[in-house]
Amino acid sequence: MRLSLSEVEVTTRKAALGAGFPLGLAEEAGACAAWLAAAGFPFAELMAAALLTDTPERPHVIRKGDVLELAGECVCSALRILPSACDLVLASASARWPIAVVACVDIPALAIAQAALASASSAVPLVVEIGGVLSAVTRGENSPLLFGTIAEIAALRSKPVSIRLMDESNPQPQHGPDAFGLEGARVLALEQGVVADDHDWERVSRLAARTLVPATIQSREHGAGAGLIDSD
Amino acid sequence: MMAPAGPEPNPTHRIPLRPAEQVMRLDRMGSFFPSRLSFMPTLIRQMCSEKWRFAPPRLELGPEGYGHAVYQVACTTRRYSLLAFSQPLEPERRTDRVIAEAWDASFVLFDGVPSHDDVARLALAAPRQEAARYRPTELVLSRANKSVRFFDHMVDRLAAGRQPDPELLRSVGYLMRTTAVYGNGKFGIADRGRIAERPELSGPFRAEMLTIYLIRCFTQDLVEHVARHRGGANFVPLERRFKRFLGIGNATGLGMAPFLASHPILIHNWICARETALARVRSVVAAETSRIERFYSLLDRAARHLAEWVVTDVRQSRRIVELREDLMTLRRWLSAGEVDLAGPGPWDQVYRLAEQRFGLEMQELMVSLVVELYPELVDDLTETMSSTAETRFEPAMRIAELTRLLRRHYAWALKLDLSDREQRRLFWYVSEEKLEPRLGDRFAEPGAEREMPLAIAVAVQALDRALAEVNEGERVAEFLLRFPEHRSIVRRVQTIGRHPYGEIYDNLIAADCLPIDLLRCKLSFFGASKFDPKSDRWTRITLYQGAPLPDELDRPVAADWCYPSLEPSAS
Repeated sequence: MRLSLSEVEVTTRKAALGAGFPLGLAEEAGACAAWLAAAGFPFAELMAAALLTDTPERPHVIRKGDVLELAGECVCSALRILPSACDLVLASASARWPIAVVACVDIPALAIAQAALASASSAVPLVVEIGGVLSAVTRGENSPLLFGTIAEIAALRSKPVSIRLMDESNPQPQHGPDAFGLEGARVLALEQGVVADDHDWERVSRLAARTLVPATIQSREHGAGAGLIDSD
Repeated sequence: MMAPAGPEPNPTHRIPLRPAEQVMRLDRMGSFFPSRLSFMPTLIRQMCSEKWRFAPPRLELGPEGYGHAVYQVACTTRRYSLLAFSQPLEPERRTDRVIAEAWDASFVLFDGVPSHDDVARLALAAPRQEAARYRPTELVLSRANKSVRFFDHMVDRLAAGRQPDPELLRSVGYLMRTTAVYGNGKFGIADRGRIAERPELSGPFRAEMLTIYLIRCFTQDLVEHVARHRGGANFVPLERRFKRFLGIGNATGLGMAPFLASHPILIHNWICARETALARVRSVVAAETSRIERFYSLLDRAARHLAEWVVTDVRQSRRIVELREDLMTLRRWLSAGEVDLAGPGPWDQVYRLAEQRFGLEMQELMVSLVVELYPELVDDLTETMSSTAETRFEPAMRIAELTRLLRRHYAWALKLDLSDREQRRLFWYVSEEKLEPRLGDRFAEPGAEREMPLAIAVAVQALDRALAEVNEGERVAEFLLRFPEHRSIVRRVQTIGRHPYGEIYDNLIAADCLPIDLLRCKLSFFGASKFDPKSDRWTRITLYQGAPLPDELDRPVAADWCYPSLEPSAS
């Protein structure tokens, strides 16, 4: 199914609400979905998986020097944990001891989306590692550098993700195989829309439908106010 | 302290802006008038200055006006096309509500020139509106219903060689009424990002405003087409002054209201531009004679416009009567020298007089009037009314600072007694029935657990309670790790700290909340006039009434069409 980026964002946000996420995390989920869609990731598959395997437990924090581990009994929900992971790293940017945040999450690809969005709003570059391997460098307003193909990154499940500030004294490689592809993908998304797998998007849409209120005669007659015949 | 953001980093005025606590109240927002900063006048000025070219339309309509039409407009670098599809509609199916499934006409604004295949595809899709899917080449989707009694009157008159009844024209003001204008990616149409960088469409709702302008053209061509076929040799075209007076109606319901709450930076930019314009004009030290004469001319124009503003809603009728009286009183005082426009600070004087002695409608009309006097001082502010960001977020902020922002900007919410059921009575929701936005009674109807997030005051108080339990030296990032349920309201509070005009300082779920106040505020920024509430949750308005026609855009006075009234016939 062909969708606009706005549809991806709005529907995913509603789906997250329908899945029981609080509003702020639902807003993040919508923004991540739109980012993934614009970048050419299989966004519907990723978001359906993330929304339907939610683990609401709150992680406990273990500090090991300049690394914060957000640890849980089982693999954490990417949608629940990654916004806070990025928050903590960005907050440390102005502190004397910048930190890295590590968490084992169900859908690691969302870390790149979340970090890219956090970078764009703060203009702070972030480094994302998945399973101990450098996966992306997000560069503020510019498209991130990816190290690994989109298909490889999207296929990862239940991996430790590390997010940290870019070390200016030790700059990361400036080239990745998909560096230019991401910007081109966004232009294409705006020109042509994005394509979602029908089955996965149906799963997301069904969650979004949970935010709708079943119609009643009372709500139809009074809810919107327009009870007039309009052939005036 | 976070400095408020807005278009005035180096203020060019000595009079301060009216504070958000004064401006962002529902009763005042529900009294706004369009101004020269509104989106329709801004678009018209752009069309004039850039000499946009409107090609003669291609009408493929049967004798009764059913079929399709294509309108093309060429701006400096691109062309856009309006496709209009007109079809028969049984009277019992005609409704302005979202749950409608058929309309008299449907429209698509197309990016460029459509091919035959595009037209054929959209001829099937557009009449189905939300039930169909569209492509990114489609920028705006809309539909409209006839004002049947007036449309038929117009056809009968023109076919018989006569002009319409001016009184009927005054009372209705439009041939058709749009009931939805969709943009920004809905149903697969283009995302705003596709057009946001284009100079001709970068302004807020610019594509939608262009669409409505072209729909206005179509409605006039349609009525003449039908009348010509019916009248044959007896047909006469509509007089130009009547064409100019005809606008496009619009039925606006609850769907527009949550937009104001969910786009705080954008709304801040709109309001801040308007308030900055007012402050600049109020700061003018002395007014030229020509400027004073223009003011008197605008007062006369406004008086004629208000005389034609007749509604059935009791509340709004009372407000209009009071407004007319206030305007007459002002003119008396001006004549009696109680305000000396030739003296120092004339516009500040007259604005303060309105604020001290008149109702909200007159105060906000005064804003519109004085801003109209100084295009050279205010027109640049239209460039500041867009936004690409929705909210701002600062994870490093300390709880102490967040608390201070909360107390500074949300005192109105913190002092509400939310144990009072009347303060929590309403809930905003979207119905399964064709996704129609509705308003419910929390204590009498099901569905509140699925309400839209407009209970800002409730979220504010919950945040305040949570913040009181944590160390004020903690950072927002750490707080939200433990309490993610407050993420949205924290972001909102931080955003409002820099964009204070982005918050509505009233409780949107209180029993006395009137959604039409939200609607009128937004519609005033569109440039809508003749606000005609049909209940407390939907209204009819008129768009582009008095606006120049496409072949008049090259005339010097084309951009001066505020406070329209039906011109007397030429003597």
